[in-house]
Amino acid sequence: MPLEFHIDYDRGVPVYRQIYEAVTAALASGVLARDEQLPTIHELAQRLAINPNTVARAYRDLDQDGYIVSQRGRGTFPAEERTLSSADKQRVLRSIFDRALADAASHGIAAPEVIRFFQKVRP
Amino acid sequence: MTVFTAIVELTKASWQVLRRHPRLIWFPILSLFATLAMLLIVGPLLAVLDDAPWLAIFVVLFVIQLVHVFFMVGLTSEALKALRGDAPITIGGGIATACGRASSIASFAAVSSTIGFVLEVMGRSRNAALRFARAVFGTGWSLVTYLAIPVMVQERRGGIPSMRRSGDLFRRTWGETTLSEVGVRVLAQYVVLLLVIVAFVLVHLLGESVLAVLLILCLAGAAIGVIGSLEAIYRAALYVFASEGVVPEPFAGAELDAIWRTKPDEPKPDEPKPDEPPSL
Repeated sequence: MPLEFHIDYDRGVPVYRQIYEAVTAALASGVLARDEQLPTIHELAQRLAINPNTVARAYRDLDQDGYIVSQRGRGTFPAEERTLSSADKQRVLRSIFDRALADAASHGIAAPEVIRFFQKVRP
Repeated sequence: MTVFTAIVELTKASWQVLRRHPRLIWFPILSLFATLAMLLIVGPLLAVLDDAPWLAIFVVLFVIQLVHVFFMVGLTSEALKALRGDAPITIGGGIATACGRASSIASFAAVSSTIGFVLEVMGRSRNAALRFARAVFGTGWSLVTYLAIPVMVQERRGGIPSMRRSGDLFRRTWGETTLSEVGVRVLAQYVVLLLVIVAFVLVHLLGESVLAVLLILCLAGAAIGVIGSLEAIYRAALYVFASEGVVPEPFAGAELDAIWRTKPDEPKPDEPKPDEPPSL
């Protein structure tokens, strides 16, 4: 299944950052497999109707932070398993949490209800 | 970098896009013709509003706004495509996008013509304070709604939500937006000055002939097309910067980095700082 990207302009977070967060969250949750190729810059730019520089910036940051590697002639892939820093972990968790809230809101479920559920539920 | 060199650099970058996609120039020209046509249609109908001249002014403002915004939406959608490197750039494509945003365009035009009407009333006042307030409010309004049309095109929002979102984006890019407003006015003044000189030369060479008038009209039309499209390209690029956090090509040159700093890199208020638990 191709990686889903959803741009939420109401979040007030720049689009390149939202792409960055979507990829890190997909890696953390296992939605993006380690051997799965990421869409090319132009594919993703066309799919989201955004500027290619925006996707390039997100991929460059992901590359610099060690989440992905670009292989010449093959494409862009998730990097080898890495240990997340505390700051990265916070960012990924925040991103997952925000998306859960947004998803719940689209079903008419309020944030406090989601938070109560998270506190109650055991893995 | 001075304001003047910044304006020159931004105009050069917009010009590069316009040279690659010269069809964009037709949108402001078509807008002008469509406005004239609409006023010719609406004009006779205004006779029934003889007793309410203010209402007639409002109707005229609404018609002008409606046509202007319609073609601006078309132009902006094609300018955004041009900045993305998408092809082809067509007049039909822009008009189809504008038709798809008809209800947003109508609500935008209704609000902006109402504001325009209030400003017109304030401007006609003999009270100097009111006229000053008009100048301040008018400038503020045009700055706050500067990115509303790119928002309407890209984010498919309604007229009023587009204005609101433009206000949010303005808070992040007020310097760049103000520079653009000033830049377009400076550029327009230079072009008008150039046109006046050319008109004098033409009348001197050809006399007060029909040919001279036609040439001057063609030049004025071309100037409107060029200034309008350059401004729309710059506005689209500024929207990409404000919303996506990245400077698009060909605005991403070294000189322009000094004008557009990548402010969105700063952590957002809703993002946790590193090593800090997120506040729920």
